[in-house]
Amino acid sequence: MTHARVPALVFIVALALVALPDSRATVAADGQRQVGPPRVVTVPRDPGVQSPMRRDLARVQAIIDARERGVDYAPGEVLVKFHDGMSPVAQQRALSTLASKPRVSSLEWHGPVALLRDETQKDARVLAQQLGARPEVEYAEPNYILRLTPRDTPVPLDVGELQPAAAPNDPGYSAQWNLSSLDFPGAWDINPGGSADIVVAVVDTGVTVVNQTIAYPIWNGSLNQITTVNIPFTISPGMSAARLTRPRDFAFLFIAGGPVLDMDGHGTHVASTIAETTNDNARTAGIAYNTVIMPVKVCTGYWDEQILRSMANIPGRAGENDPGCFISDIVDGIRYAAEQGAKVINLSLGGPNQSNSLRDALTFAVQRGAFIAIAMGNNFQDGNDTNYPAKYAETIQGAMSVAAVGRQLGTRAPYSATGSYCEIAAPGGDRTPGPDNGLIFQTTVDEPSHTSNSPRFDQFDVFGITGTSMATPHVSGLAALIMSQQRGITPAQVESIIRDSAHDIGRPGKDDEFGYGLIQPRTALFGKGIRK
Amino acid sequence: MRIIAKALSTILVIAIAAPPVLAQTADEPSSQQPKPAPPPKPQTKPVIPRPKPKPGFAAYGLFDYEQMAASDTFNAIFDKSSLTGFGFGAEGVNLYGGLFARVTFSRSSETGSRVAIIDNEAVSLNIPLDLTLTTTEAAGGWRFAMDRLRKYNAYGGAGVLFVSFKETSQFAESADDDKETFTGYDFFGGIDATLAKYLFAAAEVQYRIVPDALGEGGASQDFGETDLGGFVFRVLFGFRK
Repeated sequence: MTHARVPALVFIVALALVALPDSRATVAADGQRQVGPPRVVTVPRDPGVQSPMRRDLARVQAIIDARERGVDYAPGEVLVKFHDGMSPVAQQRALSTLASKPRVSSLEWHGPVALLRDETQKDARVLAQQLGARPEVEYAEPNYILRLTPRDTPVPLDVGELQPAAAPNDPGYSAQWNLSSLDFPGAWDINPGGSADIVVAVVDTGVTVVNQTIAYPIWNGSLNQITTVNIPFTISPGMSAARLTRPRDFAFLFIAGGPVLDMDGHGTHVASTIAETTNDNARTAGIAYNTVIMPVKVCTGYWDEQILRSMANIPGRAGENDPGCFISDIVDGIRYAAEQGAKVINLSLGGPNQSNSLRDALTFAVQRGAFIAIAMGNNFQDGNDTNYPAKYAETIQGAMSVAAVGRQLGTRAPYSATGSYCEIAAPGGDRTPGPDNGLIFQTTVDEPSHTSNSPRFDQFDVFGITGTSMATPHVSGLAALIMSQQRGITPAQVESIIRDSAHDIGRPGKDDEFGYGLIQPRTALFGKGIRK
Repeated sequence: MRIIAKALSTILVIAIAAPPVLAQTADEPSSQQPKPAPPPKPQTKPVIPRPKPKPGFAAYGLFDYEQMAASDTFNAIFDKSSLTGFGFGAEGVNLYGGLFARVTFSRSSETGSRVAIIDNEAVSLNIPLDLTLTTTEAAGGWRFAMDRLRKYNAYGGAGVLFVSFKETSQFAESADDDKETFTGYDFFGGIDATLAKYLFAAAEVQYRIVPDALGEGGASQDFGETDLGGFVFRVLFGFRK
């Protein structure tokens, strides 16, 4: 063999090694060849447990971006649902159609839905359209931001001047027309407050679960700089620590094991309607006052955003918008609540955008045995657009959309949205007959002024608010009582009981304003005999 | 040989024909074939008709098992569609021939649960419900003597029912409990047996109709059932003279 032929021979051998098929290659389910053993990508179902992903910086940036762009979704964020069985290779193939060529490993999983953050394309609708056209993708949608549905600023109630009612003896009960006019005392005669094994998840701004002072950076308007402040937090006096279970924060500081903190008051007000301690000669009464609350924080308010901005060294104050709730966080919250055994889930939030991932999360929760009450929305006077996820309730047996009535029980609250998807009505309050008489009063945290340089969240009082947010927990509380009374009852059966026992108001039969009518708690719990 | 054959054939004919001839009675004309004697008739006692019954009275205790017509309603509330009850009655017998008239009282009670009706299925709400039915019957009929079975009589009749319906529930308010009396009617038939001189027992089947007693509310409205009657199997035990 000549010297010239040896290099040629080596080259040919090398070429053969590269070109010839590898005997270890396998064929993936989608027909793509893989070299080496199939790669198994572990999709973290609960990234907060497996890895404490710090999403707070990305979140606050998304909030700021959304506000600046005037959009109702997180810029550059899209939720992607791949068809079942799609391998990581197939998923990558779909993602590769985007200009930024994101990697599968960069996806953030929220149950079966992946969140993609694209820094180069901020219009999430474009991303959703591009990905939605892929055969590997079942659906893709922007990560919309929903809003809570309180109507107005909380009005404090001076319970000191009120006389305790005969039953219950909470002094604020005298102002709780919503409970007395629906004969909740009659319902309590049958079922006194439900039972402690029924867990109601409040998917909202949270309910504070610690008595703790935490140092957070906030913007100091006086000093014109970010300073670290010791901020005290306290559990609501209307809700003992023993009645708060398995709390989880998906919105503020996404660190597994971190406390849930309500810095807005909305979540605590809702939770108090459902389950505030009753007949303790203090403050106000709750409906299912023996049940347990699962605080699930999926929405941020002014102070959450303020702290997140300061953590990101972004100077200035946060925006004055209502609290925002990312679809991805709501999906996480609903799935978490269902997986953790919540029998009732309260969603006092909504928005005008459809979301398949949110619909799928609702279906998942109902299939896991959770009844879901959802606010209809407060936009009747602002165009009355269809609200989601309330719209999905009409096709999910076990989820109910809730409209609001005022103190004149047969009259829809002027803000309460209407539509064919309206299923039931409950008191949400209005300003009749007097300016404050028709509010829904409940114990909640006294949110500090937004200009405060030293906020504190250990001050509680009774505040009156209106909104379909306030109507929804009436249905959640009633559902909790029903589930306490008959173990094993399904969410669909709970819906049937609430619907069939409702008092028909408005036009005869189901209508767009009140659905099947006004809830009747005692009738629902008392049921039917032979002739009556 | 011919003579012997002829003699043998004659003997043979005689042997075949002789027994029937010998069997004939002496009365039979010897010129006719005697008829076979008829089989002897069984010796039966002559039927002595019952003496004409005298008017009398009866008093008895009774047990009812009623299968309710409103079966879906009762299944929903009580997990069963039947009721049992006890009572008593009095009867004037043989008023005219087999004519009788009677008045009976019976009471049934049962405890169940209030329910929610969802897609025609009952879901218990674990609230106790008590039902009491008190039935008063005024009836008449005819009793048929069975001559060959002297201890037994068959009877049938019809009557008017007054059914007191009382329903109470735990946690009921004043308007929730229910008490009302309904009118209906029944048809019945049975057999009674004399056990001793004055003792008797009877088994009876009734068909009761109590129309429009149910169906205006509650579970009966959901199931569209209006009849508080049904089929009753009754057992009586008492004395009569």
